[in-house]
Formats: sequence, C-alpha cells, structure tokens
Amino acid sequence: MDIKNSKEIYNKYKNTKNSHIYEIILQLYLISSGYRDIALVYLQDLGKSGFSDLSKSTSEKIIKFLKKNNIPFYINKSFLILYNPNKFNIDKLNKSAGKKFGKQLGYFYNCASNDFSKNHYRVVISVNQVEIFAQMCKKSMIQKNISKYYEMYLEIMEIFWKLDKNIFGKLETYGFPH
Amino acid sequence: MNIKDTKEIYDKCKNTKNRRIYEIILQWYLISSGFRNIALVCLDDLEEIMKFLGKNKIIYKFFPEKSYLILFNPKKFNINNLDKSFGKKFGQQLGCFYYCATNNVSKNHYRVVISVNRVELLAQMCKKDMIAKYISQYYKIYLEISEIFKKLDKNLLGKLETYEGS
Repeated sequence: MDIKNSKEIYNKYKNTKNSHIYEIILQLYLISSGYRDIALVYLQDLGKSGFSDLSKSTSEKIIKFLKKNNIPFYINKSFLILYNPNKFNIDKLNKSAGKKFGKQLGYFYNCASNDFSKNHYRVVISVNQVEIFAQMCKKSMIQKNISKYYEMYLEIMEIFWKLDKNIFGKLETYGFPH
Repeated sequence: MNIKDTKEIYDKCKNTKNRRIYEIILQWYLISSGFRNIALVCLDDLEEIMKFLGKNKIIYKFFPEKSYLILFNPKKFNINNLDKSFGKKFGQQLGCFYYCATNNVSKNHYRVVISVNRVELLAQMCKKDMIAKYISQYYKIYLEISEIFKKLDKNLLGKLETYEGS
C-alpha cells in the first residue's frame, strides 16, 4: 500500500455513488499518507450490529471492492477496519470496541471509554460529509481538547487538499438533546 | 420585552415553515435571555416578516440597502450608535463571539458557526490561526447558548462547526 496507489484508487472511484466505497477510499488515503495506521469505517447505515446489519449484496460489494484493490481490511460482526499492516498488527486488535480499542484507533479518540453512558456530546471531523474521525465525549473533555481537534482538522485538510483541492472538510461538535 | 413573552412567541411559531421567522424567534430568545443585546438577520421575504415583527412587538431596525435586519434590546443597546458601515466596529457591537471582525474580510477564509436547529445564530469568517486561538472560547460560548436553549426546548440541537469556506 503506497500513497500513489491510494491516489489512483481515489481518482478512479471518487465519483462513485456508493457512499461506503467513497468512505473507504478517503480513509485509505489517510492511512497511506501516514497520518493514521488504522481506521474504523463508519458505514453510514450501520445499525446496532454494525457490518452484519448491511444487506448481503451491500457487504459483498464492499468486500469485492476491498479485495480487487488489495486493501488490507478486517471485519468482525460490528465493524470494518482498514489498516496499514506495516504499522499495525491486526492480531492485536481489541475487539471489545471499548477504551483499549479507541486508543488503538489513535490520539483523536481520547474520550474512548468502556462506559459511554455519560458521553452525551459528539465531536466529528468530516470530509465531503463523510465522518473520518468521530467520537462521543463528555463536554468537559471536548472543552479540554478542542484546540487539539482543531489542529487535527487543519492537518487533515492539508493532507486531503494534496489529493483534491475541491474536498470540503469540517470540524463540528454538538450535544444530543436529553 | 421579557423572556416569558419570547417563550410564548417561540411556542406559537416554532413550527413555522418560514426559516427567517424561525431564525428571528431564536435570535429574539437569545436577546431576551440577556445573552446578547443585538443580533443581525439577513432578510429576503420582507412583507411576511415585517408583519410578524409588528404583531409580536419585536424591536428591530431594518437596513434595506443591505437587507440587514437588526434585532436589539433598547435597554442595553442604543441603536443610534450602530456602526452603519457594518465593518469591524459593527462586529464588536454584535458581541464577544465576533473576534475576527475586520474592515477587510478578504483574508478570512475559514468560517466558524454556532447554529441551533440548522439556523446560524453566530457566524463569522476568520483566519485559521484566529480560530485556533479562540476555539476554546467558541466552544464555551456554544455550551452557554446550548444551556440557554435547553430552557426553551429540550429538543433543540445546537452545533459548533468550523470549515474552510472561501
């Protein structure tokens, strides 16, 4: 996996109408650029059971796309993971989707917790309406880290603008009404 | 002007399909709550809005050359002192959110917005380093506004967002 290949994949598929594949090519580019070693793909219509909620034809299309383009991936029933095998040992992936897993995903995920019941605020970095980084937090944690999230947003945009100057990125945070 | 009247206006008109009227009642609530003394709304559909403002005794001044509608609290803001060039001084009059107010916005390529139910209540263009400097303050303002709106309607969704928008 190198950045030239991921740019080629992006250029070939950037007009895809399949939002899952679009999300994968953006995350793949971020991994090949060296910005992250592992990415959880937030497939937009996932239900509570994640990847296993997708229709068979949808999940088959995604898997076919990943294999065709030699993209390293891992699936369990809940999620799809893309990773750089030279930087991340997939056998060490924490499958609980808890705090340890969040830490493996990278330093953006500093609100990762085994108990999300008190995390009522969301912070998201999105690119062309695809959520590239997203997590639930306590508002005090967002307050503490908002400068860092903004710095990350700027770094990510610099990386994506090398790929495509028309990419639109956003940092946003909001609470859920109780 | 009191907050009870504003809540009544909100309850009566919250399902309006006119987005400008919806924006006006949210901004008016923020003024009545004491969070801000003056707010800017950009207008397009004059007739219906003027009727709504008059009917609900909302205090305003309209600047037709700019299509700017200014809502204000007459006890806290003297409308005669409004900066009619709508430049840096005007931004400062709008309140503490508007750190990036300038007479020359051509170098301000990033946008920072606090919205409620997709209505932009506080919005400005900035340089990215200015947003980096004030992002904690913007988040604090966002939390304050969210707390104020929770008292009006627990279902309102507030959001802080920033993006490149040149």
